[in-house]
Parts: sequence; structure tokens; C-alpha cells
Amino acid sequence: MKNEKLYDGITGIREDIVERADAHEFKKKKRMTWQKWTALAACFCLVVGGVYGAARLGLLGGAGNSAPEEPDNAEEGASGYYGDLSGGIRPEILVGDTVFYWTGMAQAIHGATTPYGQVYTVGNAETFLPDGYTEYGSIASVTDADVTEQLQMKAGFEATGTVYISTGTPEAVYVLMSTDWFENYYIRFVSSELDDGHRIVWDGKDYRIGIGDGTCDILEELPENSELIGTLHFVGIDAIPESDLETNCPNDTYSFALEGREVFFDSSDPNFIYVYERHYWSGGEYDTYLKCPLWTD
Amino acid sequence: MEDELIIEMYFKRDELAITETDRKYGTLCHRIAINILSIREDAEECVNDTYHAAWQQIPPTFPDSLRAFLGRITRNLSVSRFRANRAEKRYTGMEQMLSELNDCVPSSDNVEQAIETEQLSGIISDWLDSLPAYDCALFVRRYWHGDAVKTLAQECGVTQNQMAQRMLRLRKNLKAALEAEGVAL
Repeated sequence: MKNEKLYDGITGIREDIVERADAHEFKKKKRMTWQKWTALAACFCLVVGGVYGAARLGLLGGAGNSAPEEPDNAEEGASGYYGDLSGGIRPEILVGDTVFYWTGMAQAIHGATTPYGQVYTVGNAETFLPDGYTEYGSIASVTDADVTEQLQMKAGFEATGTVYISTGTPEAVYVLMSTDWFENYYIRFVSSELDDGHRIVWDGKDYRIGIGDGTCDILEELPENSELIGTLHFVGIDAIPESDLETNCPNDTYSFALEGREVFFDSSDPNFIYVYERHYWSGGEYDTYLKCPLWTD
Repeated sequence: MEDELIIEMYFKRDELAITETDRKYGTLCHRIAINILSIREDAEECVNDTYHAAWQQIPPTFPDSLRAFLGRITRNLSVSRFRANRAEKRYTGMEQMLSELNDCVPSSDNVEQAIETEQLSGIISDWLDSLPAYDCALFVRRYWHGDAVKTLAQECGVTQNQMAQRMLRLRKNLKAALEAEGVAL
């Protein structure tokens, strides 16, 4: 089994790495004060109480009388990957005319400087609501079938929450959600437009950039006639890039920020653009280039 | 007691070496074994076998790190037991870990031959070296010691889900690294 060979490979890692890892002290993230928890709990009770009360009064189309089944194994959903979510259903929600698909916890990305002087982008382990989002409404009901009603959510578990939208970034919505396996997390949902993948715009055309998913081949040398065409500008993960060299992809293969990254283009083959990436592994480090293909449906 | 003194006792064939080893590293070895095997009795047998193996191997071996040396023996013995009894599906800890490691298995395109385990360890070591200390420690604790995601989340003061997400990201990062090295398993 390949995973067992990998396991054996991990067994043989250098001893000093094990020593160093064992000696590492994790700094515990500061918890919210009890005052904040109390306030949040009160809000949660109001939302749940309101939804429950409305359902009891028959104001929510009968949702309160047919609670979805309990998850088979809520623990399995904890990876944040929708394939593991309870019931194997990727959650989605209907907002306006658009279906938005679950992408996971909305974590703030911040940069940490590496020994190489580059910025390593990491989630700060705390969910958040981005600027510009305003409250739109509450999850109306949960179903395991396709969503047909406003603010109805498709999911394999019970959920309540508040939906937030932004006119500036209409392709993503955030839901402050509670289920029986997490409470009050901001979850990011995206339209199919964003769900298709990250992109870079060049010469009015979209190019795909995928990190670690096989979208981009990694080259050690640029094509002969390639020329530097500029540097990338990161417009945010929720935005659709519009101007040349804008991207909504935050980081490269090694989690280094793509903002300001050099981009190359070979005019004899406009089907690709090339994004510089520094490769750091055994034997030192060297230059590579992500070969980003033209976006085709 | 300092590691050098314990190792010296092994060299002198002083059986107190086992007692001192158990006193200093018993918890570590038990933790690794129970994380893999999930069954206390089996884990205890593995730890006893670890001490026996250490007694057999020192001398002539003089470990640079007694902690890593004992941990590796426990890990190997535990996984051997897991493999021997796998059909019974008794060991949920190891099954879970192996299932997660599937995320790191590189695709086998453009590869000339399968890599040797020792070489693979070198590449993984280099990859771990390149990570921030926090991520390196997390990966080692999860996939070397076999500590549960829940345990690590509690220790770091984050939710289990947040920790699982971070682990997923690390596994994907390792997969990319292995693919970049042209590794096939």
C-alpha cells in the first residue's frame, strides 16, 4: 500500500526533527472572554428561538415540523472537506437566483515572514466575516434535496444561521452557522463561477491557476521567447479578477503569497502564461514556473 | 537521568537501564503505541518489546537521540502488529492515520522508478525542515507520534475542525513536494 510506504518514510525522518518537534511548545490561542461568549450565546438563543418560534407558528413553511435526521457521524465532518461531511452531501444555499456551494470555514489569511524573506500565508484559526458584508437573512430550512426556496440550505446535517452578502463581491456569501458539530463559525459559500477555480487575467483573457491540483505543470525553464509582462495583483479570494494581471489566487504551492509575483508570456503560444515560483527542497533551491493554461469551459 | 547515563547503563548491561528508560520515556512510548493500536493491552506489549529491542541493540548502537530511537522502535513494532492483525480491523488509530496519508500519495506520472524508503525519508525530512516550526511540530506529532487531531487541537487552543483543515493543508503541501521531486511510491 502506498500510504504505508509513506508511513514508513515518515518513520525514518531525521532524529533531530523529531527532537525539535517534541520540544516545540504550542502557544494556546486566546479564548474569547466570558462576556463575549455570553453575548454570542444570547444572540444564538435569539436566532434559534426566533426560528423555532416562527416554525411552531407555521411561518416557515412547515420546516419546524420535519427536522432533518441527525448526522451518522459528525466527527467525520470535522476535516472541513465537503466529501467527508455528514451524509456525503456538499452543503449549498440558494440566495437570490444563485446557488452557493460550501467551501469551508472562512479563515482570515495573514502573512508570516519566512527565513527566505517571503510571506507565508496562513489561516489564523479563527473564522471571520470579511469587510463589506451585511446581513441578508436567516437559513430558512434545511433539506437533503436540491434547493428550491430562498435561503434554503442543502445539507446532510441540521443547521441554523445568518446569511451575509456583499454587493462588491456577489460571487461569495458567508453564513454564520451553527450545527450539532460546530457553533457560530463563518462558513464561506461561493457561486459556480468562483467554485470553478482561481484565475489570472491577461490580455482580457482568463487563465487558470491551480495549486497542487494538477492544473498547472511546473517547469524548470521558461519557453525560449517568454518575456516578463509584469507582476500579479491579488484582488481577494471572493473577487473575480477583471484587469490584466489580477488574480484571486492567494498563494503558490508553498503557501507563499502571489501578490507581486512575476508573470511571463510567450506571444507565440498565447494558450499559457507562466508564474514564477521558487522551489525549495533537497539539493537547494531553484527557479520554477507554473504553466497556467487558458481558461476553457 | 541524562540520556548518556542511561545509554552507559545499557553498555554496562545494567538492567536498571530498562527501569530508567521506562521512567523517562515510558509515557512517550505508550502514547505512540496506543495512538497506533488503540488497544491498551496490545500497546503495553509493544512498549515492553521496545525495551527488549533497545536492550538488544544497545550496544553496539549508540543513539544520538534516545527519545527518537525508542520512539522509532515503538512505532515500528506497533505498525508490525497492526499489519499482522489488520484483517481483524481492530486498530482504528492507525487506519485513520493511513487513510489521511492517502492525501499525500503523489500521482505516478513522469516517474522512472519507485523510490526507496530511506530516500523518501530524506525528502520528507527536507520538506519538514522547510516548514515553519509550528507546522513541522504539528506534522510530526500527528504522523510520527500518531497524536489525535482532537488532542492537538486542544493543545493549540483551536477547534478540531480548524486543526483538521490545517492537517489537510499540510498533507496537500507534502504531496506537492513529493510530486515536485518526481517521487513515486
